[in-house]
Amino acid sequence: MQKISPKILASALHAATKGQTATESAQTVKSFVNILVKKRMIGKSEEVIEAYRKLTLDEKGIVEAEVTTSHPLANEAEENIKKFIKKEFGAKDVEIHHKLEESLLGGMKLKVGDTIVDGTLKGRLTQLQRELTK
Amino acid sequence: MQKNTILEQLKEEIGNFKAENKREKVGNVIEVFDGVVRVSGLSDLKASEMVTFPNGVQGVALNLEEESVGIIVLGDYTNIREGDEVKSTGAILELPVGEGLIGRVVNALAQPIDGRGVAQTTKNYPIERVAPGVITRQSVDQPVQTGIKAIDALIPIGRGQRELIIGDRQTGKTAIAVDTILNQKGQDMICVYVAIGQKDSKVRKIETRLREGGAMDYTIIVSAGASDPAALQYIAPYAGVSIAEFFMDQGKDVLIIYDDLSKHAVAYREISLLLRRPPGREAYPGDVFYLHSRLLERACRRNSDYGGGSITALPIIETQAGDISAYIPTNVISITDGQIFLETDLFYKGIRPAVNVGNSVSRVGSSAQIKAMKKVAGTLKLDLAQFRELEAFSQFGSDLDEATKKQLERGRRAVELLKQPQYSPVPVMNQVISLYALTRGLMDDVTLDKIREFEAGLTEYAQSHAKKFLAEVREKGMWSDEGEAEIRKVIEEYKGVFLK
Repeated sequence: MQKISPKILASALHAATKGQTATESAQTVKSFVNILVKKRMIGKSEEVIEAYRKLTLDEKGIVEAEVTTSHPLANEAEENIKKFIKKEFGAKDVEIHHKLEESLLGGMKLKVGDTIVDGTLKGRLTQLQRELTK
Repeated sequence: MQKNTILEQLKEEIGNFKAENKREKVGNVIEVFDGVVRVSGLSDLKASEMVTFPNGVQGVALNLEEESVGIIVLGDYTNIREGDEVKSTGAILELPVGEGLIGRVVNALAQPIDGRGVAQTTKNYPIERVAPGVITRQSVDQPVQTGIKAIDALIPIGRGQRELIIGDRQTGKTAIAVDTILNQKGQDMICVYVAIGQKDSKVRKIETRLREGGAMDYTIIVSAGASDPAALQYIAPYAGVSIAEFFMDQGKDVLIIYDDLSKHAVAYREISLLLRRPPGREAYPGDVFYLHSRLLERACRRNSDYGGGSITALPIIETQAGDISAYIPTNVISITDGQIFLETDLFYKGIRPAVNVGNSVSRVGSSAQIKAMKKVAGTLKLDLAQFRELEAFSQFGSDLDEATKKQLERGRRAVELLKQPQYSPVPVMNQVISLYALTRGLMDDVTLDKIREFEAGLTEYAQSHAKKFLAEVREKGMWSDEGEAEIRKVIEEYKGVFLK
């Protein structure tokens, strides 16, 4: 039997619970978990939950962004970043996860999905190094 | 003073440098196997696209799957950790190529490994390239002179041909390849020797030998040694043929040797199994035939409308206990335009090169043989085949008629004449003289143990006494009645001196 990926499971669950009331969907989730146990895939539950979360975010047009900087972010900077992402990635709303990493020296790194925009001082220095040693 | 200028230059370069905030696609390493890693993300990756790892090592995407991609690492994979960031480059794997590679030993990424400094390159060529199409090709009609009598006379190779060299270990496969390279001096040929999974000591030995013979002036060695990762061994032959294509695109004739494709198939099997591709016969993946056919199809002779030039390929296959019906040997035999079959038995009988004339064929080469050679060697193959049969038959009885005895004697002389020590290629006009003497019966009264002595003496004698004939064969490859009369006279003259 071919393995079913967590993504497929999550989208199945999503389709099944669509338009259901809270009690109904609780019942659906219960039987879904039963199926997972029966198919011996309950070990994958965390991945299914993660995939489900991504799915709901996608549906609402919310984009998750990982921002890494060397210094704490000012409030207005966060707003500007949100604006930038909304424009560049066509998102309705942005959920920002902020990370501090001193080794970046300055600037910031933005990661949305698979895409990275590197505007850090460290990144630029590496670019310069590559250019000079060419 | 100098320090200042260097500083100024640096300042200027740094001043000119503009950093850009590029958008890049990245993924993260999930699993690391031996030389193969699995990476999540990288959703827009193309097949066989290049990626870079944090420590600057490159990789190539081989498997694109729903949630992850399988990547082979071209270099040191021991520093790659789970969670490392992998960047896509948007480019297909390319090699720097140029005239500067000639005389160098390079690795599978065309980086010099011979300690002779940077190689000057002019262009980048992709490693995988579609082979030239039908309309750009031309039939094979020019010879590659290997300098080995048994091959040039019986299994001739043409420019643009693919001729397999197959045999057990220690039967002289590499020796044939090296001799062929040595003999290309002054023949307007660029040679590429691709060593796949060979011992570094062997590669070094070959390099030294070629340098001594002056053959490194037109030769490039591409080496992916036995200690290099399987990924590098896998791409080495493609790298070699890309380098060859660079020279072909300039209208040159190129000879490429893959030593050997059995180890290449093994390296590819290793990668495929690590990538969890389903194993087939002998655990090789299903596309192992395509692996070699797409490589050897890039050998070709292009017609002058498309720039001319040719790539002649001599792949080598090592068999186990003479089993040519194993998977990889049968595959490569069916892809190539013929094979040179080497045998252990012959080798230990002292017949070197140990070419089994009966099992060796060249499907296109005979149309590329020069006229003079065709004339003298025409019946040799048949004679040898008949000799084999008679020899086996005559072991049972001693009462043989005169004609049979004569044929046997002639056959023995032919076998003796085709013996040749290593690293001593014979120019084609000298081959023509000795083969003429043999096939026209002029050697029949020379005793068997004196044949090689006679041949050596005759060659030397002819250098000074048959200049016209030699020049004619060398320059035009022609055969004329006057030439024949001249050489016949010379041979008889020399025989008179020799037998006295």
